[in-house]
Amino acid sequence: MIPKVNLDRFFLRIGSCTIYLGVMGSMSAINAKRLQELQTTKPKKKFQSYFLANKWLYIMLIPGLTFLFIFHYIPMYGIIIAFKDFNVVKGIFNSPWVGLENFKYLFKSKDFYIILRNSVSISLLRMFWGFPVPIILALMLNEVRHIHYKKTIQTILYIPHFISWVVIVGIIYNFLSPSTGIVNYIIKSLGGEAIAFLQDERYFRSILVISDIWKESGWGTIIYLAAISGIDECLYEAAIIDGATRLQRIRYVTIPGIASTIIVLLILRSGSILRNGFEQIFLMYSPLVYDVADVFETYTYRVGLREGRFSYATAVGMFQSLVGLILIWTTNRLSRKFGEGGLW
Amino acid sequence: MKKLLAMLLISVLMVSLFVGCSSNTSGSNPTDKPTQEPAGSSTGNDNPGDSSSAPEEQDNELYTFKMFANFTPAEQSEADKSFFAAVEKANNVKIELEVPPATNYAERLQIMMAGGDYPEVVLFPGERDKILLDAVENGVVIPINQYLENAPNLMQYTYNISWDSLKFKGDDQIYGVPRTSIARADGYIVRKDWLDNLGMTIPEGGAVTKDEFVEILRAFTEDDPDGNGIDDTYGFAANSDAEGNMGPILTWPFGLNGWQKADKGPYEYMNLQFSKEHDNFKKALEFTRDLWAKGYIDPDWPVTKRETAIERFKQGINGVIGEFSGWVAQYITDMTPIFPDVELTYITGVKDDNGKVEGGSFGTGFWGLWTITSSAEKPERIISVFDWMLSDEGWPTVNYGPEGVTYNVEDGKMVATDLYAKYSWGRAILRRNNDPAFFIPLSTSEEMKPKLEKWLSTCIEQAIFSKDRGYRPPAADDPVYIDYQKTMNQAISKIIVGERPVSDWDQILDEWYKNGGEAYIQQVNDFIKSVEGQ
Repeated sequence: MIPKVNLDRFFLRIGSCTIYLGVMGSMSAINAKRLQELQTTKPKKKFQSYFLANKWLYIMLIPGLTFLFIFHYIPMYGIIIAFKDFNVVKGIFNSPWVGLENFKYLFKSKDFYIILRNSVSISLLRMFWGFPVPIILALMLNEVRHIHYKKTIQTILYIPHFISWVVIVGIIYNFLSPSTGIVNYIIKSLGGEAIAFLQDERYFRSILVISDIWKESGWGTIIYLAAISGIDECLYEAAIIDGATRLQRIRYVTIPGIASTIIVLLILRSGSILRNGFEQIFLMYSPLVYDVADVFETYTYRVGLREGRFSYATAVGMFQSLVGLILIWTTNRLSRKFGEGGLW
Repeated sequence: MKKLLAMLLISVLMVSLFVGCSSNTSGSNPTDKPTQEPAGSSTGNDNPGDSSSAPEEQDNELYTFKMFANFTPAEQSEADKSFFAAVEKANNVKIELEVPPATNYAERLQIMMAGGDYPEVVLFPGERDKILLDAVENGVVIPINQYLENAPNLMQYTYNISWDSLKFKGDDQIYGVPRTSIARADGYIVRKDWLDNLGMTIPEGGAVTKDEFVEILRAFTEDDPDGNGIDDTYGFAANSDAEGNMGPILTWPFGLNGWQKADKGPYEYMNLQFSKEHDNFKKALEFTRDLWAKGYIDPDWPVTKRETAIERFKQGINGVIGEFSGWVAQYITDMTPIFPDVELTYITGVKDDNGKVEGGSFGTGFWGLWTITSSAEKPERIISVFDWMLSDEGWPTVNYGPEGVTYNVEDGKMVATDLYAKYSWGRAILRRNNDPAFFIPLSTSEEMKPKLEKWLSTCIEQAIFSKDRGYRPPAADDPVYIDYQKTMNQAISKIIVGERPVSDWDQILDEWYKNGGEAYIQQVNDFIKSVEGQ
């Protein structure tokens, strides 16, 4: 029987796999530290007895690893279609090999450079404006003393994350419409001319970045809040005794306390520099803004999936993943070099 | 300490595991279905003709087959169930339906094809789909010529041009039953209450000239047709196509009717959009660009999809929308809660410079096709079911649903029951190509019926087929050609909104010829000559 693979999910998996590995990596880093401590305090203790002492932890790891192996590693064999002329009916193994044909075509395509430029620039814009926002929000939330007030704000901040892009883009359309949108209504009532925001290359990327920040930054605070709550209270007490103001406590205790988390997330983020997500851009763009909005995901959809060129789509996906891998590796190296620790 | 962080990471991981799990189950669902009879289904190499070695004998055994189809709504209603029961009873078959959600039909189709367990009957939404051509190439979809000999109704009520377009290999073999619909060149639904407010009328014949069309759009934009004292209406409800591209809102009145015999130029057949010798397309671009600049077209057009355009018309933002006349009654029903006094009428078409209305029908007279796969043991029985649906006995059932369920006959007239509104699947299988009554629902009011009949017959009369028969030449698969499509579509959009001059079109067309366009035109020409010569 021919094995079945759901291609687009497969790529999602490869993407999420990187994150899993990251998370797993950071966990094993924690474990490794503990192991090191154990080994330094009791140098004679053998690994075997260590293993036996922690056997339940290892047993609990099995389902997760099995899942990872079955659904994330086994399907990876499908990546070979990037080097084949994949034919759905013939299946993955029986399709003819074409070598690097798909990659050659990708690099030859004159769209490639536009898409690469757009992907990187949108991604960098998101990182530059979007990455600090959850950190700032988390720091601010942490200073809120009224517990109910804090919880309410947190919930309000999370909610946009659970709204799908389809709905959000619908809302954006309705807000920014040159004919019926409230923003243009205000502009017009102030005596201005209606602006077709979504049809204008000058505004498009800003709208992408702002809507992304609005949707995801609240959700992003969770991990920082968790990191903040892990900071030893004694440090704050000592700081207070030393006469540190609230801002000084944030500057000298909280921020250094979550620095390693920030670094880890930044490294992970750098790995997805060529990834901008499909839905948001696909739902918002039009031929009028292709020059600034067309990214790998939308290009793959139009040229690869709609035209039934799965091999090509896979090759593009593989290229993105490879670049991501190289970037993660590089940033990790840099981070370790500058003494901030890394993912591994 | 760090425990909390670790706990959080673990819970994030757990949550993602569950998310991952659920997506995996949904992805692999269809392939978990029990394997059907082994009859050569996994290889697809068996000779499809084998099973029909003795077709002459009347086969009266109950025959069960699976049908992989796309129907909406997703839930099968009681009316639809009784329709299939009627089909099964009349043909002594059992039809096992597999109907994936319409929104990801294409994806499910791919998974099914990759899986290797083929249902006997598969609906392909487009005759140019690569996956269909792959399936034909690999023998998964079988030719049906020999069975069609015993299918007089199918032959009678299907356009010849539709059969032509299913000869994928360039020989006489036909690879599917076209899901025929009546070929029409549709016009525009117009707000009659707005026209009345402005003292305007549609000419008796239903068609208007380009100037009259523009005047209606102008008045709807500038003269406050809804009388609310606010400048909040527009003329034309335009939308981008499924791929997000824009194009001229009027093409037919500029002689752009797909592939026809060329009166000049190096090629015998030409789609005037691509002709260097004709400026029809430039004129059409100019016309639309002018309307856009004056603000007579919905300013949200570039980011408006079809559904949104319909919605905006129904919300009273726009006054004219290109639409099938059969929907007028439905539009009125939908709009009445917002505008209790709404009235709609229909422009059947816009005249060209010779005062004639002529328009290219969609595709080749059908929307998708039913294929029979190599899994089918008795393809002749499947074809006979399709044939029955178009027979005098089966057609009323297809059209209106089973008598006694969706309608009753009272005083010689068909009267719809409550279930009639829920009957839809049966109507999306096959249609006779010459029965406009199909588009006039039983529930249509007596007042609306004659109007609808007139509009419909006009739209059917003025339809002409594009001679390319939906053919997708190999040149269209050339990556260079595919890439240039984007540049071209982008340019068309920019010309329309005034970011580029119309004169740029010459240069764009030159580039198109260089990027595979020339081969494209040549191959389409060769194809048309080969079928027209028959």
